[in-house]
Amino acid sequence: MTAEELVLAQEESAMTAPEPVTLGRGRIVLRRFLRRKLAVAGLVILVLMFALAFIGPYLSSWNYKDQDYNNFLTGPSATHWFGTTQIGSDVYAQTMRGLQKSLIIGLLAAVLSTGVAGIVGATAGYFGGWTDRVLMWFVDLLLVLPSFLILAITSPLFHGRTWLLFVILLAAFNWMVTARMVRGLARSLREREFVTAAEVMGVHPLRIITRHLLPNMASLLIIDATLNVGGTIIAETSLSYFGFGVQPPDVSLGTIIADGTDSALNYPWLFYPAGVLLILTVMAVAFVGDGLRDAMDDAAGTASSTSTPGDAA
Amino acid sequence: MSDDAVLEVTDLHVSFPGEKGRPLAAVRGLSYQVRRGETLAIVGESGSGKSVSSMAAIGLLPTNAKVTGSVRFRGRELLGLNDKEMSRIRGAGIAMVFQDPLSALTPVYRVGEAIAAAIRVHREVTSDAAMRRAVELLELVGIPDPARRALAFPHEFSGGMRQRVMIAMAIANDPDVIIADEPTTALDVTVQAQILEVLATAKQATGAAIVLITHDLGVVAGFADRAAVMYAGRPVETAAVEELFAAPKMPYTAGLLSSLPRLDAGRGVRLRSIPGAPPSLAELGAGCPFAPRCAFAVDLCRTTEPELLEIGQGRAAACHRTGEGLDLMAGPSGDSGLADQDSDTAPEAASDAEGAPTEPEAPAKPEAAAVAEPIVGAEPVLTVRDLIKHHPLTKGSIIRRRIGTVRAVDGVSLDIAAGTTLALVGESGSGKTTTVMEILRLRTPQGGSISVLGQDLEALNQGRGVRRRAQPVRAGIAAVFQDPLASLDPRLPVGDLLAEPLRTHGHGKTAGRVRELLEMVGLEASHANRFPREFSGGQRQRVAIARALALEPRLVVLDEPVSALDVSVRAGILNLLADLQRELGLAYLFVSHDLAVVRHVADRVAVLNLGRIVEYGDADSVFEDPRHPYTRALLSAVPVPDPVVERQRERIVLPGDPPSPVVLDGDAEALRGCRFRSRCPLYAALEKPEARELCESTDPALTPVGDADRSAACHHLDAWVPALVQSGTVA
Amino acid sequence: MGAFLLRRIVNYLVLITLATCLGYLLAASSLSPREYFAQRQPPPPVASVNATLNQLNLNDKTPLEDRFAHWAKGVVTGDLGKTIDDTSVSAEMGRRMGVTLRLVLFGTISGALVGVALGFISAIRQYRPSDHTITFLSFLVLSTPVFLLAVLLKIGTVKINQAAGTTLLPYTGETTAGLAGGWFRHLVDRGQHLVVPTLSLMLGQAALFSRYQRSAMLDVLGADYIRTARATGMRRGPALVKHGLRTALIPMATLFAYQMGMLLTGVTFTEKIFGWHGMGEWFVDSIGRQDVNAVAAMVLFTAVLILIAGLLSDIAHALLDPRVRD
Repeated sequence: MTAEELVLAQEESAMTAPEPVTLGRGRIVLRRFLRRKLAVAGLVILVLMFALAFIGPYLSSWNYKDQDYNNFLTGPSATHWFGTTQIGSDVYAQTMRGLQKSLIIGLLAAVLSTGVAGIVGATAGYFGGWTDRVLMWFVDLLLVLPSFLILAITSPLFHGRTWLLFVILLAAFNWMVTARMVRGLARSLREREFVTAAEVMGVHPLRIITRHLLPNMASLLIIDATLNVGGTIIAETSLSYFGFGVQPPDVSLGTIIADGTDSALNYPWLFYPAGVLLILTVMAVAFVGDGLRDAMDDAAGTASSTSTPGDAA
Repeated sequence: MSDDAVLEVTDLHVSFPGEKGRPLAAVRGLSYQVRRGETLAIVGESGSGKSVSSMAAIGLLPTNAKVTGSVRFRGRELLGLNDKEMSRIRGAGIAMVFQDPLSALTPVYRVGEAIAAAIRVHREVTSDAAMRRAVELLELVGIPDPARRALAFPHEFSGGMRQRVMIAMAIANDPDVIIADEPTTALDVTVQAQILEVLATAKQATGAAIVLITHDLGVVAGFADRAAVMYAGRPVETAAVEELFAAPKMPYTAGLLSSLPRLDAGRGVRLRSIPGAPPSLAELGAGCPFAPRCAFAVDLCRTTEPELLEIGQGRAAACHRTGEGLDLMAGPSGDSGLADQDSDTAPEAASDAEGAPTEPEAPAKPEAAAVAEPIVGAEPVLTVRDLIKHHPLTKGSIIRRRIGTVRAVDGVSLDIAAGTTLALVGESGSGKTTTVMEILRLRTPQGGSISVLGQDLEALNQGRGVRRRAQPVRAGIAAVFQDPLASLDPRLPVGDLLAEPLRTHGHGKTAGRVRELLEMVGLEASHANRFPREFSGGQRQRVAIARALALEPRLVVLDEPVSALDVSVRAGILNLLADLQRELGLAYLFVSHDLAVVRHVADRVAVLNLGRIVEYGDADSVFEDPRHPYTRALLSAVPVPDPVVERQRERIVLPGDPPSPVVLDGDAEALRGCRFRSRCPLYAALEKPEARELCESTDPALTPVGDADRSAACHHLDAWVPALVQSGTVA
Repeated sequence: MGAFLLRRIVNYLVLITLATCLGYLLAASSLSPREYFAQRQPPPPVASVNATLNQLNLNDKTPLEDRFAHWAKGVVTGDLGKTIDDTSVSAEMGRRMGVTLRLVLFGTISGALVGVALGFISAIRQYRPSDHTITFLSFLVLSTPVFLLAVLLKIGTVKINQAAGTTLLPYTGETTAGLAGGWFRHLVDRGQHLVVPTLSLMLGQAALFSRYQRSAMLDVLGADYIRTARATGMRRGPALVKHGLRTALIPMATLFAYQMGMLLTGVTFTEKIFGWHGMGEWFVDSIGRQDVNAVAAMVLFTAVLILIAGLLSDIAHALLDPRVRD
């Protein structure tokens, strides 16, 4: 932002920190991350959510499949913390189960899709030429259709099968945008002198991709995977809302909200717990991702093509 | 003295909030004045605070900067003015010319609009009138066909033309002071000469004072009246330019001057180098910031920072030992002292607090201890014959269509004998880097032939197992690139970086060799655990050199190896390269745009223009008696860091931009005759129509000239036209 | 420019064709129209179901490639086939397209404008309270799936209406059924109905655009040319708008293309929740009814809209950035 001197000076001040070298970068990222209050809050919330999702069910005596024939549509009470549904299910147990499902699905699908994106993008970007053209044309084709549409259409296929199939499909239609980004980054990294240096040294192309390209994109991939968790949770709940996702008797936050929508005005407990948890989770993920991006961009001084703001200086 | 000063800066301090709450002092007490019509140079390396101080003067630092002291413009205090008041002075009273004019011009506005807008900020004129004035200004700064070019966008201009636009913008409102921040740094040497002329024209037209911020002492010598040398945020010496160059009073200035490669020095002269690297602002101690690198430092220097004291009429220096009458240029007691020490292994993290100059005697260099003379003329390590590399030029970023051919390399022939250095010189677009990459990639050339270490590349690339068969050739040829920060993978520690070539070529145990390599280039074995970011620029380049040496190559390609480095650490790298060559019998292909550097290192020189060699031969002979008009112009454009010489010598200023190697489809005319003639001063001066006709119709071939082993590609090598073009002819 | 547009359009036509075919094939192989009929009470005889399915080109006993060929032949001549209830897909699409387009159009335009403005403010006041507020709110909105946002808006509207004691903002359907009065009255009524559904789309758009605009603007804030503009004597405000915002708009052109998919997904929820009879509602219902041809029509509609957005964004890009012209 200012004259080169300043940047230089600040860079050097960051690098002469007397920390052990191997930890240097990780520490810097961590320190910068911890300085961002929202990001830290996001991390705390996220940890709490996971704790709630996996420990929460054991705190209450009700199972999400149970029905209490003495209580239909009763409000929150000591026995039913979040109240009951029309058929006497315990809303707390259901919400915990839904949170668990949504978190697992989001996490798995996000990691899977970022992995695919990294491989496809780096391959297309590094090799260029026809490899690139074919792969990117395929990406374009998939981008013409919103993944929601495709997933909705194919939803009958996984009715009655394992939810893991749903995860795979979610990932299968979610990697394209990242792949394009990775490809762009790989192309610019390919032009960098350290890659040229490795090439003229005779280093094997696959080794260049794994040893030079991917590590230099690590921050982008980590950030993307994080933000994808939020994206896939939204995608999953949205599909489940229409019944295209998680199938009964299993529940997800999406199905709970769908069931509660119509009576949201009169029986708010059916709707709000799941809604609030959903928003909080996705938002926490977004804050963590954003904080990570800022922290890594600042500390990187390397690749990261993501055009995100750094500090004012 | 201050009565007629238009800009007077007194005790300027600038600091920024630092990492751990400790403020970073970027400028620590700068004072200067400039009068109308005078040029003051502020000289310094990166981190010296020279640019920050000018931004502070016009109030364009970010709001977190803390600025104290005084900046008076025509007697009026500027510090503390609000944005509205300051805006009236910016542009109209004090104008700026920035470096890198591509990023300094808004990409979405036509240049005419941009200049007109600058006019209309300060004057109530119609947009038509402003546009007319913009065209006049463009004409003044030497833009050909200004009325039409005013409608072009910045990306449609070359770097030099954009810088002219910047200058036009700066003088649009007739300022009293023009601050030019590294105005020629990103430009080719021939263009730099043009821009300096334009600046001189602008100064004449406006009568303004110029504050020239630069790291290039050659530019200072030719252009400035007075100079202030800055180091670590402080002025360390101010003087009239003649005095500064004749008798520097501060060891840093003296070190800079004597470490500069010079065109008028001979080949192989050992440069004096300043050890270490400029300090980072975050770690300044109590003593003189230069003390750790200073050959003259005494205990006092390490504890107390010297004040800038007046030592004569308009002269000041900040050194405890100024009064002692030391001969700074000679170096202390003999020449085996620190000043000749090549290591720039800065005491950065290790010993910054004490600043103790406890550097190890860098590479064991048997100075005179005769290592066998290189076997000059033995079998060639590289032979290139008629190399051609053309690629299609496509246009448009959305639709791509072919519109012409880039004739990047268009028939280059070279030989390098074992143990010798061939320098490849030329401006941007001359095909230097393309030639080098064609050699390094070891592919079958598009046209012509390349033979590396006796292996013909076309033969190498035939048949099966090319990758495997190429490995021994790859081991014999290595490369060092311009920017070590870019050429070293930032994610790998130095040890892994050095081990990579070893592993690639199947060497199992690497640790010992890595240690050996580090020591060979003057670094410590413990540096293997550090990452490239943790080194200074010079140290990083040493790592890159160590990596190149890993497989004991016979030929090392050096692509602008010192261009990205601070002036004060260049000499150290050049000396290291010379030592290594002598010890290991390396052959160098040295690519550079910097003729002064080439003068120092080259045994032979090839001058490249438009993908062809126009002059080729023994370095001494070429530098002392250049024959091709292009070589002569290039040499003439290099500023000599000596104000007396620089002001008297006659200069050839080549008109126009460095030529583009692009030939548009269907443009047969472009390929007819000598392709240099559009800029050729000799051609322009030819009187006989037959002589001109020859240039227009026939492409000159490289023909032997004069003594053995020299050749040049010009029809009129004997037609000696003395004063080619007088300086001052712009475009 | 002409040649460029032509090439683009040809490329887009190929993509649309392939995408639609892909959509049809996916739908035809995953949906089972037979079940739709078989579930009727009383269950119709198999023979009559087969006859109906054959007539609608939906019979899963016919090989997929034959059904596809039949469907494709129709599409080429402009006939998108029959819905499962034996009405014309094209006619139904004609009725519904306008409804969706209205939502999409208002949602995008208002969202983009508001987002750009918020992003600009956020960037030039970086780390001040207004930036923090805008950032937080946009994160909040972006973290709320459209279905949840729409439902919350609906609840909010009900509360507002209750507080106002009258239907200030209607939230179901496009118009008030059986409304009397002149064209102006109808226009106002339609406008009123548009507010809340548009808001449900617009908020997400605005949040997205504001994030990108903020970051583009921050990139530009440090640019050398702003410094140059300021050095000529331009004051901060004008320099930020004329040189900063103007340049920072360029990347928004690309975003415009990318967000269309998200918007079209969102419109499905908006229509379903607010009872608008547009393409999105039809799509969701069609999947429920195993209506292959209607689903394929939605795929076609989406692909065309997304590629139009892509084309518009290319044009906008070229208009905004002289470097990519010619």
